[in-house]
Amino acid sequence: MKYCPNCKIKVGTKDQICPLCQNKLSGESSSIYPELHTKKITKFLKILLFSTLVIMAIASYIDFLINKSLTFSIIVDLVSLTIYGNFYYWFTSYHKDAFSLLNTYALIILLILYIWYFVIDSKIITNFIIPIVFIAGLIFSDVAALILRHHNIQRYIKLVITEIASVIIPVSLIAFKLADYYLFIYISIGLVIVNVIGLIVFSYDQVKEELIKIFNF
Amino acid sequence: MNDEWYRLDNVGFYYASMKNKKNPTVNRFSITLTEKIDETILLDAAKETMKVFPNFHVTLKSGFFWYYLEESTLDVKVKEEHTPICYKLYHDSSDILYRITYYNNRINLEVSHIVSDGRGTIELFKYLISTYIIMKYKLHMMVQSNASYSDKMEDSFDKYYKHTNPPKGNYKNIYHYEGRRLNNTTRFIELHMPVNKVVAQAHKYNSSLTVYLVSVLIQSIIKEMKTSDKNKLIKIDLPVDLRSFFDSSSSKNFFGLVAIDYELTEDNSFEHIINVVKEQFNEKIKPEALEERMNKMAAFTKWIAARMIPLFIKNVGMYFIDKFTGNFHTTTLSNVGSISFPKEIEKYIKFVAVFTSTNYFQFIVSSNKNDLCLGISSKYKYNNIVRNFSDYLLSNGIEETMYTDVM
Repeated sequence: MKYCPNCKIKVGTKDQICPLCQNKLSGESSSIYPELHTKKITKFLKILLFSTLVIMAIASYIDFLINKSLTFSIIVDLVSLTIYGNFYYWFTSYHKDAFSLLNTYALIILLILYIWYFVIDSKIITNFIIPIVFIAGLIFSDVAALILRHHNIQRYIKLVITEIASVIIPVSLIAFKLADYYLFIYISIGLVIVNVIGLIVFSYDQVKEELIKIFNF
Repeated sequence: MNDEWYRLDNVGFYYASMKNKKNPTVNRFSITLTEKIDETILLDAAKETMKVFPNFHVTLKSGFFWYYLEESTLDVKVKEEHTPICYKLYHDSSDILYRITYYNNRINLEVSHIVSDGRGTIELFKYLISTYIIMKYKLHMMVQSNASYSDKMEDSFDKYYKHTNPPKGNYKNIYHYEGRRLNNTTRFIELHMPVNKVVAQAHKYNSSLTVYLVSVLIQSIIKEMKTSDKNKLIKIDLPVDLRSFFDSSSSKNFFGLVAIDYELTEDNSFEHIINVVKEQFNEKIKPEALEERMNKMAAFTKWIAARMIPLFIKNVGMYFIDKFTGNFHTTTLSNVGSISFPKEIEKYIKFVAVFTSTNYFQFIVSSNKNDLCLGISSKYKYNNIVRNFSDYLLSNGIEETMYTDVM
């Protein structure tokens, strides 16, 4: 064990200096605490941030030179930032939850698509891309709920309920006349209806229980 | 399907509202044993323990009006220590609000304040450690939890709440230590000393151990105060276990905060400080005074208008309450008391340490056999107050051993 001649106290630590008086400790180092590999922003993340910002700047510059606008580069910028954000989360967090992350991805992608639509005003995004991403997300939640129903059912029921609540996305496309081809939008709304019926028929008790908990006064 | 769910007590609700803060409150109980920890046995012991204390194996969920706790269907886990001390337990609603880790000879149990307070967690901790030692050394004895399941689940704030007009606090200009803060990390220091020597010192002044330690702390703080701060009030928050005053074996939060105030005078000798502290202890730590404080703490969740407010608005309100009241003390010293085990188990134990996460600096006193541990958590780079504290004890013949985490 180390010793601080200044504080006259035995110190169990791997540090070289006394935490109380900052003087040098003598003796052999020993600690009852592990040395943690603290996940700070590593050099890798700094390089990644630098590369992301350079890509964004180059994309915007080329877009501006060719199109005299930033219409297309904005999507590159948003995607680059999202990728960086997720790398950052993955490398700095001690706790990783793939499902939450995927759920967040789906919402971020939908948000990016909305922004993209308003920037370039292309109906391809609202007619096809947004509803197809929405349908994919809904099917993913359903499959997760089915596969993991014995493991942590409440969580996946909530995931499906959240997806159902997000029906506001395809409905908003119709309500604000943002699209002119409605097949995939109708399919996504139809899928939500099927989900609601499925939830009521197969998981009535769980849903009821969930609602009691949620609205507990 | 898991249908067990619990309403949060009012203290749990406060901490749940603060769950996304950088340093949400987590209490850590550590025990150092004589031999290396066996992960498989520890996992078995943890599984057995959670069968008896299922109210800890819970996740935090948001309702429309309130948060609630739900028993988790996830398996009990035990891991080698890999996160910082008192590291955040809540990241999302699937996270279980406790963590069991080990490193070499040491077992750590970290529990979120959302679920339980220090005293409530001690029962769980003792059960876990006793079960581990019994399993490891094949002892012929059984661990018993004194409280029934419904006793553990009781919201004692709710049971003993009486509507009264809340007492007014002393919100005078309060002294806050100003030091260089650490970057995104907390320093944890364990100061171990012999209980009998500290008690003997306390008895010299006809005081209890807690009165003595609070007085030493006040004296250590005074030494760090600038002349311009000398007109400020030193306010030490002292959590008091209400189970000793009301009939309760609840595992949920059930404590009251008592504030010990010290105004600097011309005489700031240790004798004067300890007399002031003793006087306030006698005045404030008695059932009537504690009941008043308890009613004040429970009043919010009883107020019908507050009950009808949606959770997200309550959260905004709690954020401002925390901003406003979080500054009304200099520091907190908590004495969780003796953590003792049966004789057959004690021989495998070296010592115990208790910590809590903090945003400034905080002290937790615990003891096991003749070892008193002061668990200090500090957000400051230079811990002069702790140094003054240690110096004073040393000058009174109390030798100490210190352990710190690796920075």
